Amino acid sequence: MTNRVGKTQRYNIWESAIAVILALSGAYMVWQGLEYGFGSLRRMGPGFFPVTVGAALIILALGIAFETRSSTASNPNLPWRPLIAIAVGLGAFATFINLLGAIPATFMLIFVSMIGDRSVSWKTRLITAAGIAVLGFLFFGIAFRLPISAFWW
Amino acid sequence: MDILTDIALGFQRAIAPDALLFCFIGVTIGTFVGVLPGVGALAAVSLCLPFTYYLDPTVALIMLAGIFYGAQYGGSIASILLNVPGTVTAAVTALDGNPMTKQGRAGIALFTAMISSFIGGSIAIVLMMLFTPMLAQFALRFSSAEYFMIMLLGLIAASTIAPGSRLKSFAMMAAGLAIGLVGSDLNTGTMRFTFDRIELTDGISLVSIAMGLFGVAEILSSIGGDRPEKIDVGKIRLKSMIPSRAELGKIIKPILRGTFTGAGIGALPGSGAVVATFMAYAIEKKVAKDPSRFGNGAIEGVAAPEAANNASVQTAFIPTLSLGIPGDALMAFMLGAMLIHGIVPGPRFIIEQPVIFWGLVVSFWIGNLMLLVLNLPLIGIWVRMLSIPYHILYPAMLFFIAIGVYSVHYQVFDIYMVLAFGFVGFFMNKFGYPAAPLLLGFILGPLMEEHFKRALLMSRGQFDIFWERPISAVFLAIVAMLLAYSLFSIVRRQKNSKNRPEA
Repeated sequence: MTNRVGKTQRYNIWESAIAVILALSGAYMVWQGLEYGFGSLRRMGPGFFPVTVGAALIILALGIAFETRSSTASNPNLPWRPLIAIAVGLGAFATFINLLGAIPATFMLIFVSMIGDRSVSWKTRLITAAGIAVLGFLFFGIAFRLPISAFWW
Repeated sequence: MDILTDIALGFQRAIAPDALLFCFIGVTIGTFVGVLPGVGALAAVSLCLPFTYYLDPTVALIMLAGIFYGAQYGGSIASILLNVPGTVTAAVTALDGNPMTKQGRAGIALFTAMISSFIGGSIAIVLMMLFTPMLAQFALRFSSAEYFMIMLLGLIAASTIAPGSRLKSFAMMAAGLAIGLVGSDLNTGTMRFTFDRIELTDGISLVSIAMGLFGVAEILSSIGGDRPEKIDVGKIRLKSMIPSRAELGKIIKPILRGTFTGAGIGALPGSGAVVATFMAYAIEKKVAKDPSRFGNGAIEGVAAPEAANNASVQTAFIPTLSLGIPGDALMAFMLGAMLIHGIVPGPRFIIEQPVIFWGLVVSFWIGNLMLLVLNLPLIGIWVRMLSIPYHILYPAMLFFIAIGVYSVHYQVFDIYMVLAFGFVGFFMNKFGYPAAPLLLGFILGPLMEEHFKRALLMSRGQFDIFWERPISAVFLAIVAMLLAYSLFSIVRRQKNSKNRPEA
């Protein structure tokens, strides 16, 4: 919504791509819904709602594609750094919470996701990550008694 | 009178030590997130929801609700002092509140905001006590046809009112309905859209969606953004906050106007605190003798919107509790939270569980009182909270999100889900797809499907049922009107798009 306005109207690939994704999802729902069984109006099958919603989605996506066919919005400048850092950070937490325990997993989550903000020094990242990992475990593991273990042993 | 015994019953529950404690915790968290820009009330409530599973349902709801209205109070602090609204509604308060700060009247602006919120909230709570049971009584006559129609009305209204492209809002509503379908079908047990993952058998969890769309997405958009640097608002003493008699006289009428505007709009389906707040501000500007004062520190411009937003937050509970129909995304989340706690809001809720209902309502008032009494002297502390750097705040939030969503089922899958919804939400923000209709659709979808099936079962497959029953017919007519209006505005938007920048 806060995109900068370009000078000329042009075909916007992002907007169209999103419309296509929406339309394809709708089509998938219709197809799957018919597999589940559409039923009749008197006795609706489990596929009735998916088909209806999917069809609505297709129509709306077509409308969006038409509405945004030429948009003055420029393609967004994606903040790659935070996007990747947070994806890897949360991914690391998910991967290691059961393997290595809560403290290492939290440390990795915080440390990696803080790389997303380039203005922060490595020292701050290290200290914050260690601090949140330990305090977080004390808070949730000890005080709240969540069944999570601190380390892998 | 009957209602008095009910209120007494509510008081008994709400002043129990556990209720008081969690009410306090709730409003404190609420103020905290309201003060902080970049942390919304919805993100905060979804962060806290997993940790309320172990609490008594009444206490859990008292706390979660406290976060909502607490955030309204907190939001005004940051917007008045620093012109950084912590919540959307607070943006309106900033229009006149911040100029007041620049004129050295910060204390009075803050006091006005607090007292207006309190009065607005208190009146709205009384309205809630009167109207919720009445509406519930009326709704006892509803059959599935009416329920389906009113839910459809709520969805359509919310998508129509959302700013930006109508088509995009409607598409998000449909996407929400689609996501709500995931899991096993209630009637037949057929697995729908589970992609053979056991984790999806019970559907996608509300917590993952809300945390992703409103938590992670918000973080992704905020990192590296502009943040207020140094904060120096000077000392605000309690003494400087007390307005003069003349000023008090000036704000009473705006507070009342704001309250009733807010209360009325808040109770309507599809329109939340945001609409109410903007409306109240617009009305003040209309009735003012000298509209040019607005934007330059008019005290009415703080009083009316603050009263309106708090009143609307309270009355928004009327349809949610009496009909089970949430008006906006926040209430949709509340409804979802209640369902998780095994409470089904609706006409029977008030009759069958009076202690929960009245306890909750009375706790609103206690919470508002706590906010008023605590916030005025504690303003200094809240202001200091603003100096927490974002690079400490967002990792901490990510940790709360990760551990919170993990602790629901101890499933790693849910963490990936949050991440996925975070990315989806980020792109939705970027391209002007609103998240609120999606959440609303997700929560109402399963209920709508159920009622739709039941209604058509009753009518033996005839659609007549939706227009032959008078109440349902009225809802249907409103839906049709809203759709016609949307269609009209879509077409008009197309015509104008040539000379208007499109987001």
